[in-house]
Amino acid sequence: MALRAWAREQWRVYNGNASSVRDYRAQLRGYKPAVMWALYLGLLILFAMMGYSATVGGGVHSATRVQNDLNNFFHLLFTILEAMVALVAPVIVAMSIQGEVQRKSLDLVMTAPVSPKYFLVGKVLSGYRYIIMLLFLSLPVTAASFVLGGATWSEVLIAYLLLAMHGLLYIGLTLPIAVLCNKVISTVLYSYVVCWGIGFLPLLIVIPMSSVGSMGVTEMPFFLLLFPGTQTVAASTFTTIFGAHFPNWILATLMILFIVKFMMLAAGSAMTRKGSKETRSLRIHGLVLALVFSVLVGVSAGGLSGFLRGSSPVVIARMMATTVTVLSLPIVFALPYISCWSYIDEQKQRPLGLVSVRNMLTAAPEGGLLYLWALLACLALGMYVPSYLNGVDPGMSYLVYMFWLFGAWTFLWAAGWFSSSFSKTGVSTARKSHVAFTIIVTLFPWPVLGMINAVVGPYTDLMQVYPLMALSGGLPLLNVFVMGIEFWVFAAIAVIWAEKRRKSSYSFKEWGVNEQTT
Amino acid sequence: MLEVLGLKKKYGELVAVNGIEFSLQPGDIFGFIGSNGAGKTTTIKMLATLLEPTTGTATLNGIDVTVDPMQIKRMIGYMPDFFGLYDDVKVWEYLDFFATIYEVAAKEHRKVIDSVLELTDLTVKKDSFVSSLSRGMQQRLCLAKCLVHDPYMLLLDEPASGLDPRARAELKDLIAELGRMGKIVIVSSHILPELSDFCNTVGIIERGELLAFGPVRDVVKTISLTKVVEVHVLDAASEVGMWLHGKPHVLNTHMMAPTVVKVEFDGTEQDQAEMLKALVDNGYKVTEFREEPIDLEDVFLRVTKGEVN
Repeated sequence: MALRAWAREQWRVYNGNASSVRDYRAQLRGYKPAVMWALYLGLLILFAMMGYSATVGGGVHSATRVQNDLNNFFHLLFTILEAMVALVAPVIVAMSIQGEVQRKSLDLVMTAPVSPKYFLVGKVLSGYRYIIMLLFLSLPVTAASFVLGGATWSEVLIAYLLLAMHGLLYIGLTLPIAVLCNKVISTVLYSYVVCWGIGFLPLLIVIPMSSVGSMGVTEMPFFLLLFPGTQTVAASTFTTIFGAHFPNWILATLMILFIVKFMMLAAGSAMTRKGSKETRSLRIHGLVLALVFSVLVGVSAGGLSGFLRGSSPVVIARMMATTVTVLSLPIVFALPYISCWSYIDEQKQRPLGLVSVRNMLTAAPEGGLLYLWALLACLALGMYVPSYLNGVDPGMSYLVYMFWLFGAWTFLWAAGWFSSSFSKTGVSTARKSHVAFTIIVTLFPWPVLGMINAVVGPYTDLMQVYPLMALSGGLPLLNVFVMGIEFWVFAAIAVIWAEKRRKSSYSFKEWGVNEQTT
Repeated sequence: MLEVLGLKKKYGELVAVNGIEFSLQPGDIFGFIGSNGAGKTTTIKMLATLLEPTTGTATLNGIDVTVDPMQIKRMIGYMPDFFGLYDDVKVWEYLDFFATIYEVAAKEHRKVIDSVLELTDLTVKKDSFVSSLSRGMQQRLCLAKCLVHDPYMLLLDEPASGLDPRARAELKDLIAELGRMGKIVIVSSHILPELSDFCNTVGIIERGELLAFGPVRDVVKTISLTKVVEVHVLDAASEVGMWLHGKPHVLNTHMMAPTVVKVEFDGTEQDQAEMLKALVDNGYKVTEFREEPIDLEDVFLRVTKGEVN
């Protein structure tokens, strides 16, 4: 019975979704779409011609050189298309959701018996349909790369599939931003920062991995296909998981679908009240995503542990800790939402204590710290287990690095709790202060460190004030441990101070009468 | 039946709605009166499940708005004080959208759309774009959207604001018709004459407090403890005025004309009848004896102090 109701609900959400149908009618009406598409096609042809001239050009060349040039042309075409998709997808979603907010039609929709999921799926479907139309329009241009001999049909088709999935990923990433922002322009700007920003992430991941030299010509970690400009190598690459070869495009597609679902839950959680099923589901998906992604990265970088076999435990631990740290970086976007609180906002912002196991999966602030630790534990375990199974054990060194990592994140969480205790104008001010603090702590020291590095030389004690220096090679394990202690002490001071302020505030006395702590 | 118990909404230190309580029966047309910022829209939004009450409950047919908002949404039609219309679609497409999200069976859409368009007198505009409609028509379309799922309760926030007199009259007829159909209709407004015509229950709210609630006549009676009675006599009114002065329940008298005196009176209807009898028994030739009607506007002005949060 429950299964039937669930199936009926899914059918209702995905088939004939009213929100999607409405957007579809508006998107395709009048002369504007035709003008936009003509412009898009014109630009694409122009770029393709320029690209052709730059890569293939004229003159007499050897067959090998021509083949190589045509292959480059194929890569270039899809890079241009990727850029187009990354430009258009956030704008479509931002305009669609923010349009509802601006004209206040969202209130009317929200008084109807529809879940946030229904609304968000509608927006994803309408946005994605538009992206698919753009991709179809580009077929005549990209077909050139096949016709001219730069790529095979399977390469072109799989590149298209990956590109379509990237379009979905951009839409997914924009969803929570569009729900949380209150203007189209800010939504688009933040979305561009995130969507284009992920283009730089491979640098962070590839550098440590390439340093171990595990990648073959056709073997590479599947998650690299999540990043822009990788579609053209999708068809020929695979990931080895416990000895078996899995095509990367399948793994990447599954991962993107999971991430998009996660993003939809994030947007749904932002639209709902304390303890909603969207928030609960979001948090569970977050833990699963952290664990699965970490395991897969650990496994797919299996070369990592294979290569590291025979290295000292400290080197292994540092390499693994670096990967876990990189994987934990997206938490920075969620941290203001799980660490900041206020008594003058809605119920889900009001803490009934400092720590609560019961509220770990609700939006309540007191569940934030334990959830953060659970996330980090999933990442740490996910990285450790495959290595251990592969016979590479970093031993206690890994624990020391994790002590440091947990301390660093707890310190940033404590900063959010601390800034909230000083905010008199609500949780949004506390979040802004927290973001500013995080940026100051993590990004600002870079130029200063660069100068110290240039003048004094690397790895001086002074440079250890920078949190991420713990991951630098050559730093003794004891120093990493001391840096971890520093973080924990600072976090404790901030929390004790903030708790004193919270409990003495007038608002707390009014709202905190049912305080529960565990 | 709608029951509101101790409904409260706070924004930080600001108390927008302070523990209001009332109940309504099917067929009640409830005029929710208050100045701008009094708490009308906040209350309506809490009933519409758009806002979470800080404390208190509101139940519609036994279902709590905070416990099962999805079920409540199926039973209400909400018309905000702004239109929130999709202006890039046609009228029928707009209604089709809401029919779908309100889970009206697909095969019923055409019939439902035609009937609500007829009820709101928009049939001729069925294929027009929403953006081409006048303000009054857009208002009616918004009301039509509230009716596609045949709700049990309608929440209309300032429905007549910005409408011309004809559109306002048409809207009044429409709301009265909805009341006759057995729906609970909550209409908020600060334009009082428009409410007194068709509301059978009123509530006056100021600074989040419900100052008065009940059937219009009862509220007027309760609030208007002092009434003004106009007495027309054939004799000299000054003499009547002097005679009445100091009599029970007579607070003051004013000469309005040589044969007309106005009496400020705080007695009951029985006391009023006694006073008329005493006048006649004393030989005064009373040609007219009537209580000056007091409307909602007077009541509102008496009850409220013009304060806002």
